[in-house]
Amino acid sequence: MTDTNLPIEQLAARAQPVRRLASPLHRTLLWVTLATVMIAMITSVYGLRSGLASQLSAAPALIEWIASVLTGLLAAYAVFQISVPGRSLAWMWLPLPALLLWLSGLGWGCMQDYARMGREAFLVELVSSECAVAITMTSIPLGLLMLVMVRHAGVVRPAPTAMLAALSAAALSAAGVSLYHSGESALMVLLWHLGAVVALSLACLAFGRPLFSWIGYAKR
Amino acid sequence: MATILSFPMPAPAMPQRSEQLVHNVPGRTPDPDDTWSALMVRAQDGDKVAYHALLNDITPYLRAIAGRYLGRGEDAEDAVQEILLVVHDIRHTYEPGRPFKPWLGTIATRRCIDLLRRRSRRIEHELLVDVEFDHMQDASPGPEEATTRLQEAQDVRDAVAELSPRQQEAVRLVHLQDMSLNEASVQSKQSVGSLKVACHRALKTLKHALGKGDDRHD
Repeated sequence: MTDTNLPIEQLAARAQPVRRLASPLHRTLLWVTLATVMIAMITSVYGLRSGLASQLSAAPALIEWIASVLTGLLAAYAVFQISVPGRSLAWMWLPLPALLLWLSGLGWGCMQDYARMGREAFLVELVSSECAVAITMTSIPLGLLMLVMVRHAGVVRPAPTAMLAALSAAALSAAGVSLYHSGESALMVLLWHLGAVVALSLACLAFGRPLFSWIGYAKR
Repeated sequence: MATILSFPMPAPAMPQRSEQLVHNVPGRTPDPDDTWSALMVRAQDGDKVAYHALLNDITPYLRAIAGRYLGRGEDAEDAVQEILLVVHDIRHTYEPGRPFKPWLGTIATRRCIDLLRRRSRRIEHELLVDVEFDHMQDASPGPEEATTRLQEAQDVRDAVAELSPRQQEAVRLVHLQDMSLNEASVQSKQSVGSLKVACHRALKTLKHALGKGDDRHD
């Protein structure tokens, strides 16, 4: 009997029935529902910003908002795919087109602001940084909830899973913040909304392994 | 890693072949992926016999993957055991109907890469400790420390000089040159038994002599 036979005997003796993971689509729907409820609650506290409907009727703002929601949804689906062993890592590119569309919408918005306001369109307002704070504060619980839902990824693909989870949570949070925060130029949205999303995603890419280890599922 | 789990041994278990546990089409060689997949589905439902057969069946496959990353030896066997533990921990993530080998392969590859990373960190750490130790050795002692070291070295030389030539040779070969008793026996032309006795007596004498030295300094 080699050393490995003993653990096999012991593991086999512990084979209790397990509850299988639901499909990625089901888990995405569950998480998005929870995220929507949380963002709706925050929005109801602050109230929808005035002139939201007229602003969203303009093409760049509407495209930018829809693209941010799409980025969150597609990133969530990608998380529930790549966190399962055996699924292709290529799923991680799924939110990229929506992210590029979001970036294009913001670029288009910057051009329109410049045509309308001239050089003032490129003034950096530090007061708008409160959006980045709001996005971060909303993203942290949402992202943690998702990481707990895919904690098994700690032993499979911790870094890309954590990055996509942050991208999804932050993109949906940014879409939520756009509903109640007003008075920003497209450049400020680009800087503080997309900037926060990218910064959170990169931080989770760098610290994905310790994060999962903290959650308790990454073997070192 | 001799034993990972502190569980009591289960009842003598299950020497059944995996092919006997799943229904295959007669006349067709069963595909291991289909067999493993069927066994895993039953294991997820709590079938201990199927789970035991599955773990036994996949072990050579895991050993091959671990060997490719870590070479043959203790590290590879440790990796196999760790992979089996991970398989056990996240067996709920296998989705019935999907190929089993990619699921298992992802887990195995990931664990091997993590172990390789851990091994390289360990080697880096050991090298760092060696370098620091060399620096400590190189550091020039102050005059008082130098005098103490010279005195201690002289004490050791005096104590060794008190040993018989056979005892001196035994200590030099076994303790300083790290030879096994058999190698030292060939080299010194003494029997293994007399080498053991010589070493034991030499160490006892040295301990006694150097212990006395400490008393003298106090």
